[in-house]
Order: sequence, then C-alpha cells, then structure tokens
Amino acid sequence: MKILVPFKSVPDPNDATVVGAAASTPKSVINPFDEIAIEEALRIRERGEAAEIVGITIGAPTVDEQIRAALAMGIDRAIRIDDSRALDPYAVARILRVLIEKEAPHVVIMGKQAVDDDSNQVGQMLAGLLRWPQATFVSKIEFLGNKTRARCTRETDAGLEVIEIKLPAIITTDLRLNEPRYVSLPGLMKARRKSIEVLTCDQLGVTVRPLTTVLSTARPPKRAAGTRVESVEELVTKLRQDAKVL
Amino acid sequence: MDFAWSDQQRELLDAVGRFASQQLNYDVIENDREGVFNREAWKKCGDFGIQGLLVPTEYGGLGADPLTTVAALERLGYACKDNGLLFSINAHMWTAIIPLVYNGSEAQKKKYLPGLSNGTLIGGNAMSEPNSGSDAFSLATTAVKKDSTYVLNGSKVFVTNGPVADLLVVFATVDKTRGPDGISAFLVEKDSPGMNVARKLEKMGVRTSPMAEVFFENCQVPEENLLGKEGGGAFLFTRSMTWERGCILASAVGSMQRLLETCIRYANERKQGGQSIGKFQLVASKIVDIKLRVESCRNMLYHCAWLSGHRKSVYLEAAMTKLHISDCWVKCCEDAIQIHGGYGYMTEYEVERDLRDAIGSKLYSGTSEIQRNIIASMLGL
Amino acid sequence: MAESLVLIEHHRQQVKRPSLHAITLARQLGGEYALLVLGHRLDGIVASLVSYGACAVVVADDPALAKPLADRYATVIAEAARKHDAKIILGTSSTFSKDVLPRAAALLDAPMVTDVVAIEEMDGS
Repeated sequence: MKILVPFKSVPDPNDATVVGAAASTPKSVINPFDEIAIEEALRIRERGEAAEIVGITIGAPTVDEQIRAALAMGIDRAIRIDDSRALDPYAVARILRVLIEKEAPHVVIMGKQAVDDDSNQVGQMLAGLLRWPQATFVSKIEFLGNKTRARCTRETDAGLEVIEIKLPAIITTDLRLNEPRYVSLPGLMKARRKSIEVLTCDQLGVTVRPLTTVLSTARPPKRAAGTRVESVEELVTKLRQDAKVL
Repeated sequence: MDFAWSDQQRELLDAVGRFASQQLNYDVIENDREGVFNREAWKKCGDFGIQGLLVPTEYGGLGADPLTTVAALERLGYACKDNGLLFSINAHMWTAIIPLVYNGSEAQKKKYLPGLSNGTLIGGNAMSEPNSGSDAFSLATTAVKKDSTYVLNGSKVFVTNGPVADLLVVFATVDKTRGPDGISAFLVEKDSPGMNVARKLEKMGVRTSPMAEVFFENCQVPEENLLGKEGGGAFLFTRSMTWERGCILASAVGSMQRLLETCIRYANERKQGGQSIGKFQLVASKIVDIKLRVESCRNMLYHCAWLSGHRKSVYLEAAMTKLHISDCWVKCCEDAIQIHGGYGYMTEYEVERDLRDAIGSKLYSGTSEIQRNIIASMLGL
Repeated sequence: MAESLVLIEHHRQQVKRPSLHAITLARQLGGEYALLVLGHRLDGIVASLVSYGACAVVVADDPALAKPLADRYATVIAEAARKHDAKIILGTSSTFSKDVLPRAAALLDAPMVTDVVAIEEMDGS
C-alpha cells in the first residue's frame, strides 16, 4: 500500500513570537497535526501494511528543513512543489489533487488543520475534488478487507463516531491518533540519502489563483479585567448600560 | 579559520536542542532532591542517538567527529536542565565507550557497543579507591589469573552509574611491583559472581546521577573480558581520561549559556528602586563576566575537539579545557545566584542546583590541582 | 433565490443552538436567506424552522441521509446552493459543518473561511 502524506511548514507553536512583529524569522516546524499523520503512516508501515510513504509539501526552498525532518522521521521520499505564494486552502487542495492523481496512493493521511490558520478545509476539499470518501478528525485507523476499506474512529462534538470508507480515501488526523516520535540523530543521517523531488505548478500543469486573501493579522484584544459590584442594583444597571444584555 | 557550522551540523544541533528541551526537562527538582536517576530520560537519549554519537557506525553509532560531538553535548547542556543525567551520559561515553572503541577486541566491540550506543546498556568505570584518588595508579585492587578466569579483589569508590550499570570497566593490578605497568582493565558485567554494588552514595550535586561503592570479593571475570593488554591499563586509562577531560564539560558550556540568558532575562524584568536591576552596574558587570567566560570556554572546548578530530595530541589542551571550564562554571553559578538575590537561594528557581552541580566539576576527571600539575609539567616546569 | 443558505444542524428533533447564530448572521447580512436541513424524518424540525423568517426552508429528507455522511451531505448541499443560486453558505464551527462544508465548497468551486467571528463588509461580488 502506498501512503501519501501532505504536510505543511508552519511557525513553531512553542515559539513565543509576537504576531506581526518584524522580529527575527520565526522558527518553522512541521505542522503538529501533519506530524501525527506522518507518525501514523510510519506505524502502518511498521505493522507491515504499507510499503511506501511519500511526503508532499508546498513552499519555498526554506521548507526543505521540514522536509528533511519528515524524512528523518522515516518517510521514504518527498516532493516539494516550489511555490512561495500565500495560498488558500482551496488552492492547496487543487494543487495536491493533481499530484495525488499522478502518484495514485491507496490512502492520503494528513493533519486535520494547520496550526497557523486553523482552516480545517484542505482534506475535505481534496476529497470533494477527487470524489473520494473522506474520514475527518480521526483518532483510530484500521484497514480491512485486504486494505480495500478503512474503519475510522472520528472525534466529533457528539462523541466518537465510527465509519467505514472504501479506499482510496482522504483521512485527516486528530490529536488523539498518536504521539509522534521525535527525530533521532540516526534518522537524520539516513534522511540525507533520501530524495527530495522539486516540481513546479507549471510542470504539474496546474494553475491556481487563491480565492481568499489575508488582509491583516493581529493579536486578539486583551481580555478586560472584571469589576466587582456592590449591589444587585448596580449589577442590573451595568448589565443594562455597559454590557447591553438587558 | 572557518568558525561556521555546516548545514548538516546546524540541523543536528537544532534537533538535539529541540529533543532535549521537549523531552528531558521534567521532575528535575524532585529527582534532584530525592537523588533519583531518570531512567526514562536516559532511554530517550539512547533512542535519540546521544550515547552513540562517537561510536563508529558499524557498531550502531553515529560516527560523529569530536567537534560535532562536543557541540551536540553543549547544546544538550543548554536545553536540558538535568546536569546529573548528562553527567551519567558523559561517564558512560568517556569511561566505557571510548576504552572499548580504542582498545576493545572485535568480539568485545560487537558484544557491547551496540547496546552502549542506544542506551540499552549503561556503562561506567571503577578506578578510584579509598586510598587512591589523585594518586590514580597506586591501585590496591588485584587481578589474579586462574586458568581462563581473572579473580578480582578490592574495593572501588565513586563509581558513577554504579547502581544502574550493566557494564563496568574495572581497573586492577596484575602485578603491584610493576606499578602503573601492572594495571589492567577488565570488562565486568553486572551481577558477576563476587561483585557487590554496595550503598548508593549521596552527593552535593549531580544528584540525579547515581553513584556507589563497588566491592570485588573473588570476583570471577572471564579472560576474554580483559580489555586491551595485560599491563596496558594505565595507557588505556590515560587515553580515555584525555578524552574525558576535553569533552566532559561540553554540556557545562551549554549550561552557562542558559544561565547567561536566565540572568539577562531576570535582570531586565526584576525592578528595584524603580528600574531594572540590569541597569545597576554591579549587576550588569557580573553578567558581562558570565558572557566572557562562556565565550572563552566555548573556544577552548571547540579548539580542543578540533585538534582531536585532526588526530593531534590534546593532553595539554584537554587539561586546560577541563580546568578552565570547571572554574568558569562555578563562578558563573555563583554570579547567577547573586544576581537573583534571595530567589537564587531557592530550589524552586533552579539556580542554586547548578552551583551544587558545578562544584563537582573541579573534582572529577582529575581535580583542578591535578590539571594544574599537568599543565605545569607540559610547560616544562 | 436566496443570498444566503444556512445549513441547519439538529439533534434529536431539536435545532442546535449554534445554528440560530448562523441564522442571525444571515439576517444581519441583509438579503433573503434560506434554511437547509438534511436528515431523515424531519417533520418536527421543519415545523420549528418556519418561524425564523427565511424565504424558504429547503428539506432533504431521505433514509440515505439518516447519518451525516460527508460525501452524501456535501453533494446535496452543493445541489441546493446551485438551485437557489446562493452567494454564501453559512454553517457553524461544529465538527459536522467542518466535515461537510469544505467538501461542498470544492464541489461548488468556491472558497471557504472557517471560525469567523465577524463579517466586516460584503459587496455584491
């Protein structure tokens, strides 16, 4: 079975960089949810159920560091689509779709959302474009019927939902699926011998224009401190005049 | 002179830093208080590849050169607050792995290096005795050959990793009359008949690194566990001790860097008399001193490692590096406590622990006095 | 014909509260809005939706839609949006909406924005 894992390079969520500040370039890491996807692919291979794991990412050459980290974790090879534009989820889905049709994997496993924009759209859009089944926010994956189907447990507002989907399909990962291994030094050494293929949208024959543009990014307004009131009357007055909820 | 790291080195160092800061910094205050060795953290380091940094790849290691190795250990010291864990890792690397790499037979290397590289085996050495510390080669522990076995008798003190070691490199004399030329090294596995790892020793610092006294009472060691030649023990010891002196305080340089940043942060945030204490010259000056020490220590560390990697003898440089870094580390810790005022005295702030850990560095791997003697003799005095 | 189409979520014959926020947003955007509800045996829900001032309540009631399977739901949502020439589809930040709406967006060749807290301005295009 061939597994495709699209992943995104994002600013390190553990790095306390001020939003919008022109400080030093924030450190980048593999999107944590995508790391979970990579880890799951590795475990599936370790169980003997997959033969090849291919990673894909879209970005400028600076994301090669994240690609090497993914290779160091254990994926077999990686493809970078060379594109440094700010793309929206739909543009990403359209680009990935072409690559998926080219690589023809049995399953695509990817993070449910990227921690820099929390969109939670690409996997679902990809499934729509390909007309493939989808299983989102997955916390458990099992392959059945000689890997023709997957039984997935999904984390939903209503609780855990179990669905069965035919392969090939798109699966997006939730936090509880696994805990990713950290890159080891021997892994880093082995990664240097693995290949990174660089392609452009032109070479893929896909032209996309983002349909969404980010106008600005700002910190959320600070929460105002609460105030104590002396009487019920004062409370009612404040609710009416200040909070305007009465 | 190229002072830059290669892309590959930078990638490796960043991976070390990220791993250490995310995986190794838990329960340090409690473990230090109770003197608990963090076996889980040790295993993580083994899986990550720390212990095997210097081991040739054919035995499961990374085959890294000395400079990359010390840089990785420095980064480890910067990102990991548990100096005791790092002390145990260092003891394991310099006193067990290095002798095997340089003096082990093929069979011995194949048997022990893979496990030592990935941390599944914990190693250490037993050299010091109640009556021989600085006077290292006047050993009382004897090894007598009987058929295909050596029988060891004696007692060893200050055995780092003793309580948890799977393998110890034990130094004993096969012939007291030959002095240093009678000393031999033996690979002794834990639970060997006649080997008694006695009480755990409680220390002032690096308390998360376990240490014990070990007694040998007619301890049987198979002859294939002689490490190197009979009588080759002193040379083996000196060589691994030179490695140790050059490298064991690499993580201390990282610790000092962390102390520097902690002090700068504190000096900027802490306000007294309406301004940051960093604006007071007496405070700022101490931080400047820390910075200068970090820089000079780092340069000596790298230079010694560079020479080592270029196969130059570093007997002098290793002694100087060890002496200088240990002196600087203690001074940096003292300054850091002073800068933090009363808070520097509180265990919660984790500054006082660094001083307790640092003081040991003037004692192990040869006391500072011994280092001075070595340097003096190398200067022709 | 409706400017906005609001995807209504329900559970045990009750409209879920967050959907009411989506309806309020549709109202604030001005223009006509339709409510879309999918599932099976929806009479009770539909009855409760008529009082929300929508120009239409679009109902997709079928055994095949008893469970919220994304591929089926997205196809129906896209179809409903096309039929009513909706400019904007509104949903909530629930796992249900997040599972289904992006797929519907792709079927409609449309972009999507998640977790919106305010719409500042909107012009015809």
